[in-house]
Amino acid sequence: MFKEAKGALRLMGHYMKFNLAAMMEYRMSFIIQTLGMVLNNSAFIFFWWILFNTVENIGGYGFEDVMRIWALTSTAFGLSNIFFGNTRFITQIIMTGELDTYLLQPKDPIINLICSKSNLSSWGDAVYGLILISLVEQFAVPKIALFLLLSMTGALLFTAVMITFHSLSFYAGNMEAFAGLMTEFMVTFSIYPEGIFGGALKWVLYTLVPVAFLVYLPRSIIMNFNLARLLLVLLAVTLWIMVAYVSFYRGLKRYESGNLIVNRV
Amino acid sequence: MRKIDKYFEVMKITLSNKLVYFWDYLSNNLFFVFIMFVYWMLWKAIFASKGDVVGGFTLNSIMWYLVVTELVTLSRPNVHMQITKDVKDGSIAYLLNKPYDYILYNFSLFLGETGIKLMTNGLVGLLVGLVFVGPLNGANLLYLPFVLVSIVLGCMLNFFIYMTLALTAFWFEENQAFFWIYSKLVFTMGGMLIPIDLFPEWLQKIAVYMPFAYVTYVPARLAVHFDMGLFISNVSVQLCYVVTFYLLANVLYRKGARQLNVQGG
Repeated sequence: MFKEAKGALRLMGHYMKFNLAAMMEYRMSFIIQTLGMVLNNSAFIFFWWILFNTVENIGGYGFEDVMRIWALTSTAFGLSNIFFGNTRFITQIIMTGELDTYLLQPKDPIINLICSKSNLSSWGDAVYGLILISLVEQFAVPKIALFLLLSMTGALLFTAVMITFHSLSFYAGNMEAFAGLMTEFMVTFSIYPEGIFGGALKWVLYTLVPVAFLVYLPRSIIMNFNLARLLLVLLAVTLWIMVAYVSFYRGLKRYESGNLIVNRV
Repeated sequence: MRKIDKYFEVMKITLSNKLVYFWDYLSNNLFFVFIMFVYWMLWKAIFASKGDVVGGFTLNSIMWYLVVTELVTLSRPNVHMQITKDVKDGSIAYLLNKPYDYILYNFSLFLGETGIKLMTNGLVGLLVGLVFVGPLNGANLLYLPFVLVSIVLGCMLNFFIYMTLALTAFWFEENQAFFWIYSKLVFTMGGMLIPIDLFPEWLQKIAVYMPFAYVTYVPARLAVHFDMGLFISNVSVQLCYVVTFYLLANVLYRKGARQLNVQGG
């Protein structure tokens, strides 16, 4: 188990190195995309600033609370797409038969698959969240360290949920639109105050679309550290990773290879 | 007259091509329904703490306002991506000697696709508005044709701004950031998510003169608070902006095409 985890981490490290080298080939493009994404996300500060000029409290959150969940979402989503940038293409890879290539290689197929691509503009998302939280928390190092830890767990959670939904394509055919919609749900629900969603929807946000463990609990942990809550977040992330693994590998047994010849260079 | 015929034919072909996917477009509108649901939750929370009227809007009118702003932005075809691609990969060299004006040709494509998107999004928007907040208070069907004129002009202005930005590909290798920034300017200064009436006064004065407001704010505001005098003045400015950006796109295209240097074949 420990040896496998070490191997997976080493593979991730190698992929990261290669992806970074590929990005540096087009340095200017990388810088423009990163800055563009930071600017792009900053527009939402304007939106909330106007809203909080009109009303002091929305769903129990003030302006700074919304900025905290925005920072968490942005960095978690960014890290997920930097380290596991191929996750959103899983359905496409299954449907076209490209998965064969990953199965033939002597590494854990799922790690090999999700790490083999990195998204350029996601650096902008990751950096934006970090800048935002540093400003909101006035550069308090312990809070920023907690933020980084919770962004990493958020990135793992986000990736695990996406793998699970994409893995449904093994069972029910092309689920790309569905997985895309679920991604949209995760991102959109996570940037609005928890208090505006009530009733049955709240249950959904703690289970099927686990935004609660991505931003709601992490926000409260950053504000007032609570070990029990942190352990709860870690437990939820571990459970979702297990669900993702099981759905992918059970689904893989149903996979029928295509006759596509792919050359990965 | 024959000169216009060919563009009309392009528009007709695009429209009939897209009509085949009418039900697909309709079912793809889940995002529209979802985002309106989130706005509904958000504004319900705001009105619950602020009273029945905020910035001259009720929950009923703000939801119909958002239906119209989303209708304009979601009905935009991705013609600008094709234009950027044409310029970047050099395909534009093969289009230069075609017996049509490149700008008008793309405009015909836009008309065909936006026509069908306005129809499907309009149907979904109507349904969403009726389900969430019921019919628009004080609605008068006699105003509908005027509002539709403003909506179509908003879509046209949006298209010509995107086209102008796409044509910068003649000079900039990576122009995606321009699209993000512009879309966020519509989002904020264009009153897409929050009516300009809620801005601080000094910002309102700036926003109402900028083109972004004429893409989304003006049609949506006319839809919920119609006034004939306002219609005439606003639509005149919309027309001026449409012509300005059309001319600007022409200038960029001609300048860019003159200095185009395509290698290979």
